Amino acid sequence: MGKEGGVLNPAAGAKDPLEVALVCRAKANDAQAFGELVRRYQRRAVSVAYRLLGNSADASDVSQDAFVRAYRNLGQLEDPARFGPWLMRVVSNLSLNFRRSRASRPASSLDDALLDGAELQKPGHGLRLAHPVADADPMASELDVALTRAMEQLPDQQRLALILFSVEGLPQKEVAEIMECSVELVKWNVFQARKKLKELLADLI
Amino acid sequence: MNKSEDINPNDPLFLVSRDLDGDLSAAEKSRLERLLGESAELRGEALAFRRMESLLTARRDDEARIDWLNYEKLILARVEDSDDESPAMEQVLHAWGRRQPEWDQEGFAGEVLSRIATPQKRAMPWWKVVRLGAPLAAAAAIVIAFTATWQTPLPVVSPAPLAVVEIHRSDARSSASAVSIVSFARSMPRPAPLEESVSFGYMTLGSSPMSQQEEAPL
Repeated sequence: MGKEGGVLNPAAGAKDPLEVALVCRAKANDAQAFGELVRRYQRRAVSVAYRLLGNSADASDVSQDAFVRAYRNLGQLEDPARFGPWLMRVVSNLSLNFRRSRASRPASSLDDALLDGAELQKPGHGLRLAHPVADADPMASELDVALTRAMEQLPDQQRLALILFSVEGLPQKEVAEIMECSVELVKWNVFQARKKLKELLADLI
Repeated sequence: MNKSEDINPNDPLFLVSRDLDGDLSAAEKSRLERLLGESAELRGEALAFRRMESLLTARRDDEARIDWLNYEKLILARVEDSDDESPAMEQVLHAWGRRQPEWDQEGFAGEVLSRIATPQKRAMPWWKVVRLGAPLAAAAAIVIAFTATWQTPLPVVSPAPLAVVEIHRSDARSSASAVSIVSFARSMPRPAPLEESVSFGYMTLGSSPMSQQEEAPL
C-alpha cells in the first residue's frame, strides 16, 4: 500500500472482498463483523490518534470513540470499500477536535466538560490538566523533544498531512481521501509543514 | 488552512520536498538538479529537509502503549450496549463522581459530636419573625378586606314603604276588621277614594277614604 502499510487491506482504491463483506455485515448490525474490522484497523487508528494527541491514554479513548461513532454511522458510508479512509477521517477529526478543546480549556470542572460537548470529552480529561503530559521517554533526545514541540505549533491541516504521510506512511492518495482534499494540496501541506519545522529547528538541524 | 490557490508549484523548496517523496517527473528532476547546482543555500535547505524527514520516519517506532487485549472488548461492549447513547457523557459523570472533596476527616466527627452535645436554640430570632411575618400579615389583611367587601352585598336602598299598616284582628262575629294606618314613610298625594273593597283575608278596607290615624269601625 504505497509506503509501508500498517493494515491488511491493499493499496488505497483497491477493494478487499473480505473487508467489503465485513463492512456490509457490520452495516446490518453484525457486531462480530465490526469486531473483526476493529482488529484490522485498531493499531492504525490508535497510532494516528497518538501522533495527534501525544499520549497513549488520550489516543486510546479518542480512537475507541471513533470506532463507536463509526459503527453507529455506518449507514452514511456509501461505498464499503472506502471504510479504511473513512474511519481514519473520523479518527483524525475527533483527535483534532479533542486537541482544540483540551488546549482551550485550562479549568477542571464538570461544567467545562459539559460545555465542550460530551463526545469530545473523555473520562478525566475535564478533570485533569489541559495539556496532559506526554508518555515519558527517558531516552528521548533533545532533538526529539524539540521536534515534538515544533509539531505542536503547526496548523492542524499541515500537522495532519505530515503525520499521515511522513510518519504513518500512508499514500498521498489515501491521505487526500482522509483529509477530503486534492493530492496536490496534500503535497503542499506536507511541504509547508516541513518548511515550518525546519525554521523552528534551525538551531538543531 | 492552505488552499489549492496557495500552491506555488515553482517554489524551489517545494520541488525539494517533492523530491524527498519521489514525486518529481524527469523534467522536474532536471530542473531541481540545476537549481541545486546554482545555489548553496538551496542545497543547505534540501539537506535540512532530509534530516527532518528521517526524524519523522523514525517516529514510526514510537508506538502508543495500549492494552490491546481489552481494546476491542471495550469497543464491542459499547457498540452492543443499545443504551450507550452518550458514553462520553456517562464516563465524564462517573469520573466527576469519583472526585473526593478536600475536608478534615479527623475533625469532622468531632465537630458533629460537639454540636450534638450542645443543643442549639432552634427558635427563630424575633427580628426574623418580624421581617418575614409582617409583610405576610399585611398582605393577608389586604386580601381579607378586599374579599369581605367584594362578597358582602351592598345594601339595596329600596323606596320607603308608602305606609305601615297595622292590622287589628277582627271580631269573629264581624266581617269587618279595623285597619289603622300607623304612618306614612313619605309624603304622598292624598289617596284617591277607594271605589271598591279590597280583601286581604283578615281585613276588609271600607269604601270610604280614610285619613291618618282614623280607625275604621270593626
